[in-house]
Amino acid sequence: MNMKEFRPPARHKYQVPASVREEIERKKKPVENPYKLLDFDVQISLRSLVEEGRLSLFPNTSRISVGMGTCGRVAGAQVIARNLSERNWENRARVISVGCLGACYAEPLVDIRTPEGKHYFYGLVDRGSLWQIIKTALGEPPSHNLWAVARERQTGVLRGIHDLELIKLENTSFRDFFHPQVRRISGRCGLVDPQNINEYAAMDGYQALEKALFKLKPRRVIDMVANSGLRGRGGAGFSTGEKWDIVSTNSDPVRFVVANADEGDPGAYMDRALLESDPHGVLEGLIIAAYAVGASRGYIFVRHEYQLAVQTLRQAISSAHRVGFLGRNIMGSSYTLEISIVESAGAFVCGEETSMLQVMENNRGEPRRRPPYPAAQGLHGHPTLINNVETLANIPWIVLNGAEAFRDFGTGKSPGTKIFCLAGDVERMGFIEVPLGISSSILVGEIGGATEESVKALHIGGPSGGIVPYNEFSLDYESVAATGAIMGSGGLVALGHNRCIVDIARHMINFMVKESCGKCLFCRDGLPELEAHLLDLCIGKAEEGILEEIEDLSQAIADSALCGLGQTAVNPVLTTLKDFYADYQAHIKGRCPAVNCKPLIDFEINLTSCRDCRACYLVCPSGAVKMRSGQDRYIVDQQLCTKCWACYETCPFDCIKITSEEFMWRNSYE
Amino acid sequence: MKDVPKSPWEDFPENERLAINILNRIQADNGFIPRELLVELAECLDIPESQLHGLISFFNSYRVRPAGKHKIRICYGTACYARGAPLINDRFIEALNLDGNDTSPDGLVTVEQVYCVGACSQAPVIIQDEEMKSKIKSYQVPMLLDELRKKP
Amino acid sequence: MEEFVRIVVDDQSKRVRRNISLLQALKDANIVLPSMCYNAKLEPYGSCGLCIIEAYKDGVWRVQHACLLTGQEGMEIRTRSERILKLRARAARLLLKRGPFLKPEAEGFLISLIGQAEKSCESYPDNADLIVYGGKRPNVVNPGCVLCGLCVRICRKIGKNRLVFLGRGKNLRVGLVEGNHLDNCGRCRACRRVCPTGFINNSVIKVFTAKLYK
Repeated sequence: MNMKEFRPPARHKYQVPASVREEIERKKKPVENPYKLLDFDVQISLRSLVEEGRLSLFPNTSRISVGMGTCGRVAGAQVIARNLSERNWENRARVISVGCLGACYAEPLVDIRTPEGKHYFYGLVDRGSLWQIIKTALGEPPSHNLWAVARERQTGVLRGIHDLELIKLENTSFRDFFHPQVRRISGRCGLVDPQNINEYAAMDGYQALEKALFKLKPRRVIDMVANSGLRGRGGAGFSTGEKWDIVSTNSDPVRFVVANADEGDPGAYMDRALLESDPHGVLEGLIIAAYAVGASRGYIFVRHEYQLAVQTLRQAISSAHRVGFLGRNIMGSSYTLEISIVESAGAFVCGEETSMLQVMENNRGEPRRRPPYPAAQGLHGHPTLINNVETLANIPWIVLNGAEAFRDFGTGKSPGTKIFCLAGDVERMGFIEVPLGISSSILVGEIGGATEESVKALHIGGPSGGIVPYNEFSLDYESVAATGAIMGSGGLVALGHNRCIVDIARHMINFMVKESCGKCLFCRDGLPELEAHLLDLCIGKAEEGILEEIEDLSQAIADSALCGLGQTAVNPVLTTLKDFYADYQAHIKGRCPAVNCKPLIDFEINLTSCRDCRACYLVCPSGAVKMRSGQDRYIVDQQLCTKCWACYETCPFDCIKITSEEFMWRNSYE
Repeated sequence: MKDVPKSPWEDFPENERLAINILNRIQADNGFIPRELLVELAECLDIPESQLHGLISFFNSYRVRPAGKHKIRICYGTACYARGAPLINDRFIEALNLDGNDTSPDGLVTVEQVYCVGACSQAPVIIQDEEMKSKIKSYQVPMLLDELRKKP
Repeated sequence: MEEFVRIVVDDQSKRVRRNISLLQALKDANIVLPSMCYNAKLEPYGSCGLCIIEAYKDGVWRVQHACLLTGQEGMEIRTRSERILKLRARAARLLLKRGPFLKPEAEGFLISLIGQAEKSCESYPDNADLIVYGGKRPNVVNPGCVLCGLCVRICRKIGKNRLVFLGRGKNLRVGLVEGNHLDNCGRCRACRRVCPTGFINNSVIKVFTAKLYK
């Protein structure tokens, strides 16, 4: 094969970088003695990493891990970590910053490992529990503030949170949160130091890469992934093995892999959590993927907003480079890969793969037509494998444990586990990993701790997902699609009865209006019109017949928009119209059933139970709570009320009533 | 004439030299993206300048000029929206010649939209620097700007 | 390689060229689809949403943009079904809201599209204007421009590549990037010729006031 046989790159401006060309040239030559000789050295190198990692993971002093993911930092973990690390421990303990364990509701979370393999968990740590932590770390029995104690099943073996067993429970929520979960790919999160490649290696890290490079042919890796039935975790659920196959069988020798970490869905942050807490897991998956499809260049496309994730990732890449897991001749094999980071500057649409490629080619991020799919013709016209971060994090597990074991959990069509981000009106928020096909009630009820009555609806899959009534249904790709929503990246927001469905649908459309790229007419001009209709509903200006128009318009956008973003943008409206039609109808008549839409509600003081405590009078920002003239009782002046809920939230006796009545006057005026 | 900052892409590794990465760096270094650098970048990467303009305007986080001396935030909460916040916004755009940017060409005012500030009965509301002004009518906008211009 | 393929258009078998945009291929076979953003000499863009057709795939009729498709052997499409006419009318309404257009033909063309759909289900109202705008036009940047992108594409192809889309979504607009001296537009007036609505009726510097840097 000579250079003439190359298909010319699609863009005349683009030239194959010298390094890539060199790489191809090198590949063409038969490699003598590809890895047999070097194998021995590599074993030592990985093993020495493991040894070092074990020293830092299982030290003979206490190890204090402070959860320092973004969620932890927001909750004030930095102060805790500073207080702890400034202390003179006299070599009796070491303070480590780790990522997030998933229990974001419990942040700041501190885990103390004593030399005998016991883990003491302290949740919601404040200054009050600091002293308890110090005492525990110094080996004294803890007295209070403790949440749970766990033990390593076999002391000195910790490959994930599943190697821990609870032996003492002070706070039952901790068990309820973790018990139904199956931590496969996020098991290391919150236990491993994300900055430390040794610790990752000691937790079975990079074993899969070693296995793939030296024991498996690329073809075999692809077969493994295909047999596991892994489906893309980014939303659409396309078979990962099939995608890899398409890329690897392409005749073009220049191939790219891209990890999609442009996670724009409000309410979904599993990619951030993985990148912050266990970056090497993602990196290893990416390297294996690149090896399997024969790519020599990898990119990680990550959001600019995730500064901590970007930092951690850069650090991880450079340490992987240092120990020879990236760059030339990875682990001493003949395989070479460079990975670089691309930072998106804030556009939701760039999560769409063709749009992402456009940005990487220095164009505006307008999605282009598919087919050709990027797997056949992607970055600069070369076949490009684009996988979601969570998908990639599954790869090392599959390579290490086999395709059959992967199917132990999940359903036949959707095997494996999936990370969901639980938020909204639940008691325990955080990211959780559960087998696909798990019942929604286990997720929201058991893990989230919400009661059946308190949750009205579930918002699945971010702004392109849907809002469905909270019933018992199974969470796998097919069942979720049957409800009209899509799995999306796995954001799950529980909506209580005091949330107005129409307003939330409007809010979602508003988000999409702002994020639409504006290329095609229906998304650019149709969505704002839809939003205007929904706004009319929320402010009580809607006319009869508007619901038909809304449905018609939504359907038109879903049918004729060019890209996935536009087609799914109306999902929140379509699903709610189906399941919450009564709410929409009430809004036409001027009533908001959830008493949420400000222009449609009134605040009243229930005078029979009011005790004249003046709390509402003092707290009202606009002076709407007034003394009724001639009488010494307080009332709310509807002209002045800003509907800020301050009185409602302040009243100690619950005598502020929010009402929403149907319009009485509309007919009389007209 | 401001001194043009040093071209920051020179220390970029070859495989990370994507326009978006470089623009991020420029933005981080300068707070906005100066045109001089953009022209230089276009030549360096061999991309038409117009393409870079399209790219920059596509993303939320890029600024093309420093933030203004005064800041005006217009409440875009539902109540204010219904009672004419867009009208005020449009008036500002017109009076300040904003055209899709948030800062006026003379660097006097930056106009932003914010979500509900909780003063809905006073709608529409704007916050000028830290001072809240309520029940603004769109015809008051030019007067308001005149006042700002007179301020030291 | 075979130049032609057989496809089924509105239940009639047609022989059309492959490897070119289906919109053009159909036009050559005397089936003219409405369109505002297509030019045979430029790459298809898919912005106006008028050339939509239904294509049969996997048991369902999917709405597709004809300009972005290419002919495939045995493909089945419908260009005038009720659903398509309705969607096209909706697209025309949305486009009209970007008016008023300087070229009256453009306006008439769009209104006739609405007429086609409404005739098929109900009688076509006389006062089309009121129906179309509902009495209020939304605020758009650059009224009269439908953002078809023809000028941007032609400037990239034969001009000096000075026109570009700025912003996104509702704020999308065409802008002119001026060079160091004013004399940077080639004055070829290609953009004026391709503009479907007559928005570019003057020198581009006067028409496209949108700019990133002032």
